[in-house]
Amino acid sequence: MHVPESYQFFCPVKVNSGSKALEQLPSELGALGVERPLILGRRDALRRGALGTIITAFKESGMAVGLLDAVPADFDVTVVRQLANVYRSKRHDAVITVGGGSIIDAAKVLNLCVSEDVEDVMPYTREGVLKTRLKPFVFVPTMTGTGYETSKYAWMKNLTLSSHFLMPDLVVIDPRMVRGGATVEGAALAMAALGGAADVCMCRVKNPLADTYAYAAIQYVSENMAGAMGRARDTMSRMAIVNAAVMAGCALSNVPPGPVRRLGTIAGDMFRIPDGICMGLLLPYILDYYTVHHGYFMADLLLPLAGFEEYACTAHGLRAQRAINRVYRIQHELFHITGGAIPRTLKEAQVPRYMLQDIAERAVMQGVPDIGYDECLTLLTHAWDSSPVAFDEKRG
Amino acid sequence: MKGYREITAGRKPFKKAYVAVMLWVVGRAIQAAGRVDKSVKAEFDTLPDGFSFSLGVEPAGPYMIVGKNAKGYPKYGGWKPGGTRIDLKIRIKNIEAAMLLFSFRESTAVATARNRLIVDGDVPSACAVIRMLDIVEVYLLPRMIAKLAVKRYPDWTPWRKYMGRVRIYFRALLGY
Amino acid sequence: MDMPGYYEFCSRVRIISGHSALERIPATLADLGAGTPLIITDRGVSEAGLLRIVTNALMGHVTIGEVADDVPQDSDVRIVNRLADIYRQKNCDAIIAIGGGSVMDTAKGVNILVSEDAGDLMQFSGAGALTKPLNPLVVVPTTAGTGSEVTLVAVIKNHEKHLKMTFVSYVLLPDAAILDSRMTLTLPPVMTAATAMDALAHAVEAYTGLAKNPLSDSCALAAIRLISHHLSQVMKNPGDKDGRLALANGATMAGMAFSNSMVGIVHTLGHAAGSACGVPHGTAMAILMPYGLEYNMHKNGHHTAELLLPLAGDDVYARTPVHLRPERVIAYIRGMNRELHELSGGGHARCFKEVVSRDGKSLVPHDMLADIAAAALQDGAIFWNPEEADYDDFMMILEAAWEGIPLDRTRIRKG
Repeated sequence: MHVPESYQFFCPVKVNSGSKALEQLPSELGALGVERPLILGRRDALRRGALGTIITAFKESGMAVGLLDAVPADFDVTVVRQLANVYRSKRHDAVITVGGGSIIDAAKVLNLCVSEDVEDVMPYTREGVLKTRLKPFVFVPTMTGTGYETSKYAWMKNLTLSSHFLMPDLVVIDPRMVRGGATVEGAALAMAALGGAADVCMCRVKNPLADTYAYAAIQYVSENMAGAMGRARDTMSRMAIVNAAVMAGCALSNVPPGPVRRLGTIAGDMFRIPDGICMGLLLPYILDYYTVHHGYFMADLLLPLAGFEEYACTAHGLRAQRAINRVYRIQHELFHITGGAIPRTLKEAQVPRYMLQDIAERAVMQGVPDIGYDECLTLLTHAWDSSPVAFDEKRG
Repeated sequence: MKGYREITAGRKPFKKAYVAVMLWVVGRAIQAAGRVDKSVKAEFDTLPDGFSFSLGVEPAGPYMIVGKNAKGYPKYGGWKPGGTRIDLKIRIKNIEAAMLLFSFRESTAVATARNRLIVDGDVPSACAVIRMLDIVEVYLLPRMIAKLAVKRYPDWTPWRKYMGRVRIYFRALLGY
Repeated sequence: MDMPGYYEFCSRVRIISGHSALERIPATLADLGAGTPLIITDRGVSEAGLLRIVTNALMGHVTIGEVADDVPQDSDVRIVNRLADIYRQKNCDAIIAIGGGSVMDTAKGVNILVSEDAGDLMQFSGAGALTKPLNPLVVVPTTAGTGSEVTLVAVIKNHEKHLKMTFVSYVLLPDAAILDSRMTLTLPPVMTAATAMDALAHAVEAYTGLAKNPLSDSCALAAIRLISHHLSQVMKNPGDKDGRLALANGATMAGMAFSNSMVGIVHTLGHAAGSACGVPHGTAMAILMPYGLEYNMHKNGHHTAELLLPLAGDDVYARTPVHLRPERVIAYIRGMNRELHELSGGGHARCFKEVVSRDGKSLVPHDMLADIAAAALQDGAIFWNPEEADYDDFMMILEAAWEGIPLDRTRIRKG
């Protein structure tokens, strides 16, 4: 295992996960000096009773909580202003966000505004502007999300904010919150976790601590995908998937975006496919392409993907390919479990072949590591028609 | 903003009552066990004179208090901490954690490992108190349940276990 | 990887690692809104020239408020009070702690007093007393190591009242930990071995204990791999910068692991051996590690088995039958101790009867084992051990560890 010449790692997120995790919330808030938290959620996006479960967890705590359960999915600065007005006028001192997706972006921006006492967040689009810890911020995940909930990023319309101080202070993963929800959404979350974590491991500048979070995420997805998405929809497996997404979000906040995140996000934005599904779809092709053509050596990925036994018993030179095959297998498994709802190729995702050029162009503009337009297009073509990244294409 | 409301989450009176009863039983049982079982007495002897400890649920109870009387025996001190000086507080973080403990779904060891408890006070005293609690649980509970509550079920003679159980229950109910 | 019924994990410290990591301290302090640090360290660090390396890295970028290099080997409340006074007098706004566990504990104690603007540490002891964020604290470990740079605990002794005050809070976590290879480059062989085995014990106990969780497991495995792969090489070639950085990273990762999943019987007995007989902590860890694993094997052998991969490598792991892997792990660690004994010219003890003071006196006479066992009854680390242990169990382990013979597992009373 190699420790790079230099690296930095920061993850301010505390994770509480498991049985009755929500009931620990009042004492955790107390430790953060919180007396009046504001709960933000979208009732229409949550399982029936989910918000009620959270409120019940505050029984006997003596705490009064505010609840806003109609936060719009598509938010802008006006919505944030309204939320901030509620926060201030009702004298709240912490935000608890329930469920993933755009609501957590809204919550991150809200927390920034009320902590820095600003309305205009434009200055904060430059990393490094935010210097101090914000007011307490808690995230209660469900099976719906993008995998970026615990990350340092927040998006509002065309603005991207980036700071470790935007990450939640506390994530509370409770089994009661991971039940229910559509399979496609859960699969998207799982693939976002897998893709995001694998992207971290692909980073040319290794970050051993980001890798530890990423490996844990990959292992959880690999071991629990079938259990979480299959007919049984086993709760512990679903807990593992949500844990994986939380860990992946923490890990990717410490390394620059790699090809999986770049291409996944671009394709997802262009064709309105969840980013996670795009990342999962592209992952094995990207791993394959980068291994064959750019000497990326992903042997260590086999350990979290396949476990100790298979890793140890596989010859060193074969590990990378075995790891990639494992990812293909996960993809196929997911396709069959969901009855074809989760695409395995860009073609199955109904991306027109002629649009691959546009994806490649945008990718090059935004910066994909190590590959130019032609290679990007070749890679995307493999991901479109599932053609193998042929050995005879390998450079000398 | 539309849809905002303020909620004061209520209470869990039945769970609180159940835990209160369990704490009462445990407190009285420790008092009784101090006179019945040599090991409990030996652990109590390691505690300083005038020592008292509490086991309770945050933020507002129920509690159980046990003190060391002038003769060096454990004495059940009721359920209200009041103005008493408590040397060691074992605080269960919330009523649900207390329910997990007192319905034996989580042993003391597991509850500690899962950070459900805060031990506030001298560590050596805490070790002695936890060991006493384990012994008392073996007396109070049938083997099948006690094995869920303690890490290692002790190998006692039937005389010690059954006679001790009868005497402790008797003393605990009568309060001496 | 199992999904635990419930777990918590937090490691809120910024880790800055590299061969020139010290040079990032000024920017780190600036980000924390500070520029006038009090440097807290000990004589060993300043005499080894490490303090000068740090101050050179700071020169011209920050105004050093004061340098205090008289922290004793054992943390002391009087020193904490004195340093807090110096912090206030010199209008410092941050602390840089350079050293091992005792220096870091002292620095954490000073930070409590100056941040809370208080004069008495006692009021903040125990859990739950500290909730407000503290002033900036940057730590520079000079061993690899105690892991104190990432723990939420500080232990300060009041020698006059014979008290040990323990402070537990997430606010005690340093803001940043600087892992720079220069800080351990000149660490003597015996210290290198002892501190590395301390770190290994942290990782091993975190992975096999009751509170294990996926993130601490991941950190522990990475730590074990780094320590196992680099320790021997660094012992043979102390100037191996990359090896030193790897060990420092391993120690920090092990610290992150055990800070969140705690430790067990190895530390219970190790602390007791330290308090009763003055056995250096790392030495005790190295000796007791195999015994802790033997004692707990019936409860956590399946976890111990997995340690063989990062410890001994994939080849050994693959060739060892599953049911023999726990024993192989234990044998491997004993093998590490034997190798370290040779590489340190006999300085690294393999069993308690070999532990000697600087003047060659035995630190653990056989008749002191009873005192160690009695002291172990007062240590809370046993709460997180998978198996119960009482005085007799401790004596059984100590007898074997004294002699340096494997534990007779047929005598273990299994819960």
